[in-house]
Amino acid sequence: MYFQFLLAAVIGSIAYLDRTAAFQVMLHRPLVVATAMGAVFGNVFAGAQVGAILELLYLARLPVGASIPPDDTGAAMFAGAAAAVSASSVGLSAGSITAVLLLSVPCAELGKAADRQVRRINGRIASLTAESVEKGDSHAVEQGLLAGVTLFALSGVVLTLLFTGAGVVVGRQLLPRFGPASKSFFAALLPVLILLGAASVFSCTRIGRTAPVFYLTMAMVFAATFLFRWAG
Amino acid sequence: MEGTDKAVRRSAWRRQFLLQGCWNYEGMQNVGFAYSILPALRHIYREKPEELTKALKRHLEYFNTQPAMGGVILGAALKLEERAAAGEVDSRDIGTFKVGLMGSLGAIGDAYFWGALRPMASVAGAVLALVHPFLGIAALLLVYNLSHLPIRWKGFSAGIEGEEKAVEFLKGSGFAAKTEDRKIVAAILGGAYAGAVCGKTALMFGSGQAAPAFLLLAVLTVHLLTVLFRKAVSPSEILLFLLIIGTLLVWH
Amino acid sequence: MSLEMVRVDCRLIHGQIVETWLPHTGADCLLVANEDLAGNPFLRSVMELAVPSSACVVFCRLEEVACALADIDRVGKKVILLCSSFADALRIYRSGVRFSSINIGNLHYAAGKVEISPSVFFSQEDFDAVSCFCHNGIAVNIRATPFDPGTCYEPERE
Repeated sequence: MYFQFLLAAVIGSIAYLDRTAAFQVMLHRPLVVATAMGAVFGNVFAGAQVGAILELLYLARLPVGASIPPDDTGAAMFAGAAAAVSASSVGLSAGSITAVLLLSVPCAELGKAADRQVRRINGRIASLTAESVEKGDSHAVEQGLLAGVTLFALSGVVLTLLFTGAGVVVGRQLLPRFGPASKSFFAALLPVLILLGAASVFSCTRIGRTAPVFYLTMAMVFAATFLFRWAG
Repeated sequence: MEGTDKAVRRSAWRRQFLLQGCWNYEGMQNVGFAYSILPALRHIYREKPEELTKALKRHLEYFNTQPAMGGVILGAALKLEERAAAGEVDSRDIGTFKVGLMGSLGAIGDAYFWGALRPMASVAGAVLALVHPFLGIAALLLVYNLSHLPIRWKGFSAGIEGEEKAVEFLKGSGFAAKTEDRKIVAAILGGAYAGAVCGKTALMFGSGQAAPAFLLLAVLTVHLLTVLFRKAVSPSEILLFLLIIGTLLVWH
Repeated sequence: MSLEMVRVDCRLIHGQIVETWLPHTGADCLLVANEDLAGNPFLRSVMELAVPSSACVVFCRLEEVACALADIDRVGKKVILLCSSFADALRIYRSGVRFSSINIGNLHYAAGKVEISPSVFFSQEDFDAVSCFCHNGIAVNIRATPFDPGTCYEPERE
């Protein structure tokens, strides 16, 4: 188990760095992170399943300027770990997937609050940097940036351990306690989550022409699913 | 004044990936920008430490733009610094140029990368993950980065040729048209994803007669959620609401 | 009146305006009142690239705002008025343009400024301008994007 958390922490620090501080090559997206966490905690497919749904949920919130969106990377760490752990013990029903996804919301909000704190501390680093530069020390810029990156990475490691730990606990302790009847209530909410993801995509891609295109494709694919079933 | 050599430019190119490394509320990307342009400044002002300090202070001023578009301004600022050192332009113009461009580039970049390319890559990934997880991840990363990395590179190279070339690049790349295209593709994929998953769910409940009603319900749900998003309700709030509903159902 | 929002933002047009406020308010025109831009076609041309094709952008000097608004009103567009500082907003107000609330998006940090919200820092002149707006019964909202809860600024009573 220690080794698994160590591995999670390494992946987590990379994902969190990619989120803001460095590169932005989308290694921090929920699909990638949840699948990776699924792999670490024993079930790639379980991780990918929750990751794919989570991927779209927060798309409507853009990281514009000083406005920080909910931390979907953190939510994916929690959800990926919880899904993988429960898949290898009691199996992963639609109800469990929904429960895991809904329970990941506090992680997203906590991650956002942590991000805000890191950026506040960075403010102090930046002002120290400016003071040293004033005295003629150009290396202070490199040191300041390194400090900022380290801070982002450290907070990433702490958040990863926290979220995956919570995920493992939920997957092991909480999910097995519920019977099939209560899970079916949650399972009924799963389509709403999928539609929430689709609505998130739709609302951030909204221009005049996308509305008919979106609804038309939706109806056509829906009909096609039925036709395929009848045909074969 | 000879141009900055290749090694210096390459190091500026590498460093711009850390533009947000010390993102803070007061100066936003200021430390990251100063860090990126530092090797070039050290080269340009190698015998004049006071000038180097002055130049660095200029670049530690407030700065913020979309990170992938930062390279354009970085390249152009680098060129301007060279010309300022040669006495061709006033060094105050560099700040004016950066401030003047960062908002517009931020808007272009936010609309293209966050508003169009990322949703397209995400939804492509989510759809293909239904086939196989690794296919989904590969699609997401490739769709995004095959557009993202070339734009970073082209933007930086155009910027380094001077501000006219930078603007030529912005106009020539047709970001507005690209943004619209990506948005439409994302909407099509999003619609297909919703349709496929709803179709599968409806089939689980059996009868074909109920299908049109089910579709109508799904469309209305999407519409309602879109309205909520436009009213600036956060996805977190909707998810928490669903969590409460689910918990109450289980309780009874 | 078709004036959807009046916003003070040191970056004028950027991602928050284009990607969040335009869809949220349903506006289809941006009126940028700025003295520097009015005389700088280079920056104007870049800024025009930043606006989606579904919206139009109009640039004008501070004292021409009333005139520009009337023109936009005639074609029936819904407009967001942008200016880069409180001083500019006050000049627009004194030139006779009336609005009931003013939105503060970003006013960047400089030495000696006071933090009001993470992205808004006030100088002494800003405080004076705000109390002037408040005396005239104009609500001052500090809100970077529609997703922020937003706070209504109240000057301390002497």
